[in-house]
Formats: sequence, structure tokens, C-alpha cells
Amino acid sequence: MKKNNAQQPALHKVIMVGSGGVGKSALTLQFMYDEFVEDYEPTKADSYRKKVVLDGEEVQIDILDTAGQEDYAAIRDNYFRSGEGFLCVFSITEDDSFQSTMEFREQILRVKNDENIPFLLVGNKGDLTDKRKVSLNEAQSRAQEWGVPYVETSAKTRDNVDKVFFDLMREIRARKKEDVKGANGKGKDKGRRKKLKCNIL
Amino acid sequence: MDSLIKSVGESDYQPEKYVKELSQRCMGPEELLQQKTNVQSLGEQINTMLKKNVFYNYIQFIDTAKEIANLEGEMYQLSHLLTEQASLLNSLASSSIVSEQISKSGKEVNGVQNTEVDNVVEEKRVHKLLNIMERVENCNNLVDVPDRKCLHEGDLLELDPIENTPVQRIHCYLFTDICIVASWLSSRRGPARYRFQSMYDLCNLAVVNIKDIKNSFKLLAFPETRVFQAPNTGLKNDWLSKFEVAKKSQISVENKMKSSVDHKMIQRTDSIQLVHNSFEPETTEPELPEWIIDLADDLDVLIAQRHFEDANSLISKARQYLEEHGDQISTSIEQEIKTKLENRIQALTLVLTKELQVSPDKSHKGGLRAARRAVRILNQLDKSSQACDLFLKVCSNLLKSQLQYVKRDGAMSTFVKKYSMVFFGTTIEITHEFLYKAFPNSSACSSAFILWTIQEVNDFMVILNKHMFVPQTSLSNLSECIKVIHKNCQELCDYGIDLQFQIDGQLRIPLTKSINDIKDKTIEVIKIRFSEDKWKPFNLKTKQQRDKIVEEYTNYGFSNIESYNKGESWIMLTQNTITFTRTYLLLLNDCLVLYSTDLANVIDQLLYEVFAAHCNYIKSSMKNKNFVNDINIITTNARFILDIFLSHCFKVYSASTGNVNPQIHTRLKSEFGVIPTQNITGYI
Ligand SMILES: Nc1nc2c(ncn2[C@@H]2O[C@H](COP(=O)(O)OP(=O)(O)OP(=O)(O)O)[C@@H](O)[C@H]2O)c(=O)[nH]1
Ligand SMILES: [Mg+2]
Repeated sequence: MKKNNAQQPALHKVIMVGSGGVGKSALTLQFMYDEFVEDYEPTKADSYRKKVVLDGEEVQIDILDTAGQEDYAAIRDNYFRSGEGFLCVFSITEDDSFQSTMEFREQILRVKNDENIPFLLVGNKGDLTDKRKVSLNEAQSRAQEWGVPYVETSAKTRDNVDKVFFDLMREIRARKKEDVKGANGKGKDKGRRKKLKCNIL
Repeated sequence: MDSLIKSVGESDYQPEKYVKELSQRCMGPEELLQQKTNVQSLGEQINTMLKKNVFYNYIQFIDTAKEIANLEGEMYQLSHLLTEQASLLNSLASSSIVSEQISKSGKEVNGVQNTEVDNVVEEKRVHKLLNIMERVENCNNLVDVPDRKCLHEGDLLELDPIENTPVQRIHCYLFTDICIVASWLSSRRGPARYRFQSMYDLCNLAVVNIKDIKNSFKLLAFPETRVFQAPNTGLKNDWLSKFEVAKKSQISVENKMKSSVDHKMIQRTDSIQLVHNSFEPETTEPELPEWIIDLADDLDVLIAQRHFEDANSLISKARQYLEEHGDQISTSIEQEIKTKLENRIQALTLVLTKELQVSPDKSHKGGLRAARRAVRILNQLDKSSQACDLFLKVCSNLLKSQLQYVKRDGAMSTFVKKYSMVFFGTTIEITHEFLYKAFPNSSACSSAFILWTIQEVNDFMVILNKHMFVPQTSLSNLSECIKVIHKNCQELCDYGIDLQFQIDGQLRIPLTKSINDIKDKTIEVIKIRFSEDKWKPFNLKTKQQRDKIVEEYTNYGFSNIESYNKGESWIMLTQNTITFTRTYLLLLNDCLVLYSTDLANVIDQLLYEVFAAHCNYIKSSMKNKNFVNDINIITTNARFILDIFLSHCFKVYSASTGNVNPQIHTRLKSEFGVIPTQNITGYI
């Protein structure tokens, strides 16, 4: 392989978060390989990379599919740190998974130290309408509260799968452009992005 | 006489009663006078016995003192070993103030004494770590963290995280708390095979399985991402599971340590968040003072600017603060501060030890004074034993460089005297600095120092011995040198460091050999002289010359030498007698300088054999028919040597050694005293 750094497409780092069994891996695999896996095999930490065309521009997406299982909670920080955008997934058939999104959100904000980090709230398993436990309303109002988009998906039917990834990439791209602007301007725009005071000891 | 001894020796002996009894029993003044002489001779006998006893007690006392001195050295050695072990155990148990729990349990274990199995496991663990440190060039110290273990290692290929192209071959080590990445050395030097590249704290590390590149996984060590490819799927899965186990067990240890703390505080972050955002539920923590927040940076600056004292006092201030306010700060923040603080302490220690390290290009001009500062701060940082080791290396180096300047050409004795003077002079200086300036009141360091002096004096003696004990060296030369060494050594004694035992120990073997060699040579010369001796009176040609000899012998302490004069320039002692007596006196003199209980036997043997050799030749001359007509002059000489010269020599001997009744004297007298001195003709 030849090196062509100048030609290297932009790389957007996306992290899948959410409780165990909500369909993070299913969404990822559907997006990556257009396939749906029925069996549930808990994830530890997997990464994927794919070249896609985003609004006519070739970019690369790097997906880090994390573990939803509770026993990995303590080591999530180090994963979250590397993410540029997050898909926070719950299953509309499981209220617990919806409640947990609060914790994930908190943890992400704490680790990234940035309230405006690109973030989508994703209600998965939309095909299982008869088993719905989390109402659309509930989910939407939480997303509104956080100031993030809410999208319902189905990894099984591929409903909105591309949309969530592409929407997130757009947000990431927008943020990166903003950052460049900010850096070129008269310094960081501190007022808009409420950076947390941080003392490094 | 026997009854006399008996009655005097009795415990209820009363002098008045005894005298009364005697006067009643004795008939006439003769018998009384006889009794009186008896008592007198008994008195004399007891007197010599007493003197002998005193002498033997004295010798025993000296020997015991020497043994004790040596024992003391050994005790120091033992104490040094023990403190070294203690400090090793301590550093294993508590090298980090972060792991207080661990160190506490370590101390308990210390008290209870590890079982053997534990020791073996521990030994293996440390050995493995040391082995890794040896194989990885520039590797950090791995054994400073207690309970660190190597869990996994192997070769991996690093890939470019963006393009997935191979970057380099690396070797990776996974420990219980860290991960080390090392690159391959292109050329192998020594035991090192890899060069240290980076170290990651496991708590800041995330491992990701890369699904779409064969056998690959990612290490996320924000902001760095590194991609590695294992040789096959099995090995990759090994790595992933080992990492998982390591991370999980680390988390469980942390959880245990902070079980009382809110679950959310468990995660360790690079930074300490002091002001809480709206998403943090707990906002009750007290603000840390500004100086604690800036502690690490300030310390870095101070160390970089070489304000070591300031750095040290800041460290102790911080330690004190943590001790006093530890319960008010959340555990995770406290741990952060402690970790950072510990890192800075280590950095400071490192800089200071570098300061003390001896390197060939460093000059020794500053000498010991230059080391004072670093030693003092290291002492304050509780790194005394480290400082002590390094300081002693500085001392060794100083000593070596000082001794280098002593010129080795020229006369042997000049060299030895100078060398000894420089050695002891420098050692005294070092002793002063060590015991009074650098490490006062530290018994552990003092014992290390004693061991050091013993080592140095041994090296010193090895060099001196090489110069002193060469075949052409005379006994006078040797005794002169040794006298000087003893004198210099005595000066060091005033500082409480007694090296005499060491020195004598080093001298014993070569000196014994030299003395024996000289004995053989002297006896050989005696034999030659007798083969040429014609037994004629010595003609000194002029009266002045003869007067000179008379004067010489009078100076030696012989009275009435004139009685041997004959005619104008003759003397009835033969030239052989004169030469022998001169030689023997010189020999005796040198021997007495070297005399010590260790060497007593060899020296006595020399003095005896040489004298006996001469007497034997006189004896055989008497029997020799060729000298029938010279029997008078032979007798005269024999009498001079056996009656006058011999007792003179042993008077000198006794005065010097304190031995009032030397065995060799008695032996020579009883063996040769029977040389007939009258009626010689009848003897033949
Ligand atoms: N019907 C339906 N089933 C789904 C959907 N998404 C996932 N599943 C199923 O839910 C189970 C769990 O899905 P995963 O994607 O493995 O769950 P995960 O979020 O990756 O779980 P962890 O890896 O443990 O965090 C699997 O059996 C999937 O087949 C969906 O949209 N509809
Ligand atoms: Mg999964």
C-alpha cells in the first residue's frame, strides 16, 4: 500500500453505547455488512472501519462497538475518551435499557467534558411494536431535554440504520469544521461550549 | 622446700605463726639462715611465676581484644545484611505510598514471616521482572511496584492506525498494572533485545478487537491509538483475554480499595475535576488549596531548576497535608495526588542519585563536599540506604584517584610510606565526612561504612603486599614499612575504626614466608662463613679501628669488651663472631618490630635456628682436628656468644615483647650451654 496522506479521507470515530442486548452489534453489522444476526453474543469491544460517501464526500467511519454488559461499566471511560460521536442505543421493548441511557449520557459528558458532543438517542427494535414499553413521547422528550435528536431504528428491517450513522457523521463533521474555525479565529469559543474547569495535577 | 610451698600456699597460712614454729624447730643460726635463703628463693620463684602469669594474661587479653574487634566487624556485617534485607522488603511492600493497603498487608506478612512457598513465588516474580528489565533497554524500574507480575508477552506487528500498513515489529509485555511496548533492537548488544518505547497504565488503557483486519487489535490510550497484529488468531485471542483478565482484576482491586466510596468515583481519570458540572450529583467536596493543585507542576519546575531543597520541603508539606486532610478529600482525588506526588519523589530521587553517580568523566574536585547536598536531601526523603551506597561509591572513587597520584617508581619503602599515608589520610577524611557530616546517627549506614573500610583496606593491602614482598626486600625494609602502616592505622583508630586486625591478617602469610626465606638465607651465609673461618684473632690493623669496634659494642650494651683486646690492634673475638653478632642484632631488631602473637612462632623459630646454626658450627670446629691448636680462641668466642651475647639478646627480646622468660632462650641455653669452656683438651 502506498502512503498518500494528503488524499486520506476524513475519519469519523463513532461509539455505540447502551445496555446489553439492545442491538448495538446488530445495528453495526447491519450498517457494515447488510446482515442481521439473530443470535445474541455479548460484545466486549469490537471495532470496524468503512469507507462511505457522505454528502458526496468520501469519508471513513470508525465504529467502536462497546459492551453493554454491566460488568464492563467500570472500564468504559477509556473507550469513550476516543469517541467523536455517540449512538446511545436502547431497546423500545425494555424500559430498563431506556433508563440506563441517562447513565451513559452522564458518563460520556463527564469523560468528554463537552456538553455538545455529537450524540444521537436511538430507540432500536422498532419492528417489535407489539412489545413496545417505551413510548415515542417519553423518548422524544428526553432527547429534547438533552438537546439531541431521537431516531427509532430496526436492525432487523434496516429501518433508519443508515440514517443514524449518517446523521451522526454529519454532526461530527460539522463539529470538526467549527473547531477549525474556532482555532483559526480569536481563540476558542468558550462561551458556547461550556468547557468544564479542569485542573490537571 | 616442698613443705614450705605447701604451707605457704595454704589458705589459713599465718606468717607469724609460721615463723614461730620455725624458730622453735630450728637448731642454731645456720639452720635459721638456711631457712631464710629457702624462703628468699621461694619468693624469687613466685615472683617470676607471677610475672609469667601476668605476661600470659596480658597476651590473652590482647588476643581476645583482637578477636572481639573482628567479631565486631562481623556483627556489623550481619547488621548490614539485615538492614539491606529489611529495606528490600520495605521497598517491595511499600515502594509506593499509593498502595497503602498493600503495604500494610505486606508489613503484616513481614511480621508473620512468609511461608517458604510464598518466598519462592515472590522470588520467581521478581526474577522475571528483573529479567525483563535486562532485556528491554532503557526500561523503567519494574520492581518498584509491589505485587506487579508479568501476565503475558509476545511479538506483535504494529500497523498504522489509519492506513493499516505495517509500521514496525514490536515486543509487548502485559503486567498486572501496566503494559509496555518495546521495539526490536536492530543490533543486539549485551542482554538487551528490545528498546523501551512506551508504557501504558492499564487503568488508562482500552483494548479493542478489530473485526475487519485479520488478527488485529487496538490499544486506546487516549489520545494515542495503536494497532497491533498478532501472528495468528489464537495469539490475538490470547492477548485479548489476558488484557481482559488484567483489567478486570485491576478493577476489582480498586473496588475493594474504594468500596466505601460512591461507585461513580471509581473511574480514574487523567485529571482531577475540581469544579463539578451539572451532571455530577456530588458537589459537597471541599476546594483544594491552590498549591496542592499546582503541586506537580511546581515540583517539576523546582527539580528542573535544581532547587532540590525547595522541592523537598514542598514534598514534605504535601505529605503532611495529605496526612491531615486525607479524610476530607475523596479517595480517588487523594489517590491521584498521591500518585503524582510519588512520581515526583521518584523523579527527585533519580536526579539526586544521578548527582551522586560516579562517572569517569566527572572530576573529583568537589569530592565529598559536593556530594553532601544530594546526600542530605536523599536522607530527608528516607532514601538513606540508597544515598549511602552511592556515597560509598564516591568515596571509593576518591580514594582510587588519590592513590593514583602516588608515584610507583623509586624505592619500595618510599612508595609504601607515601601510599599508606595517602590511603589513611584520605580514609580519615572520608570517615570524618561519613560519620559526622553525611550519615550521623544512622547505625545501618555506619555498618555499611565499616564494611566499606574493611573492603578498601583489604584492597589496599593487596597492592602494598605486591610491592613489599619481592625477593630482594630485606627484613629491615619490611619492618620499616610495616611500622609506618601501623602508625597510620593507629591514627584512624582515633575515629573508632580499627583496621589493625585486617592489616595483620593480610600480612600474616607473606610475612611468614619472608621470615622463613630470610632464615634460610642467613643460615646459608653462616655456613659459608664457617667454611672460611680460620679461628684467628681479628686484626684490625690500627688501634683506632679497634677502638671503634669496642665503642660499637659498648653502645650495643656490652660492658668490658676491652678485655678481649690483645696487642695494639688485635681482638680475641674472630671476624666471624663480630659479623655474626652484628647480623643477629640487626635481625633481632627487625623481628621485634614485626613481633605479634600471630607471628611469634615464626619469629622465635628464626631467632632460634639462626643462633643454633652458628653454635653448631662452633661445636663442630671444636671437634675439628685442624683447630686443635686454636682451641683457646674457639672457647673464648664460644663463651662470648653463649654467655654474654645470648643473654644480652634475650634481655632485649624480653624488654620488647614483655615475655620475661622466653622459651627459645632457655632452649638455646640448655642445648649449647654445655659447650665445654674449660679443659678443652680433655674433651677432644
Ligand atoms: N427483533 C429485533 N431483534 C433485534 C434487533 N436488534 C437486535 N436484535 C436482537 O437482540 C439480541 C441482542 O442484540 P445485540 O446486537 O447482540 O445486542 P448488543 O446491544 O450488541 O448487546 P451487548 O453486545 O451485550 O451489549 C440479538 O438476538 C439480536 O438478534 C432489532 O432491531 N429487532
Ligand atoms: Mg454487542
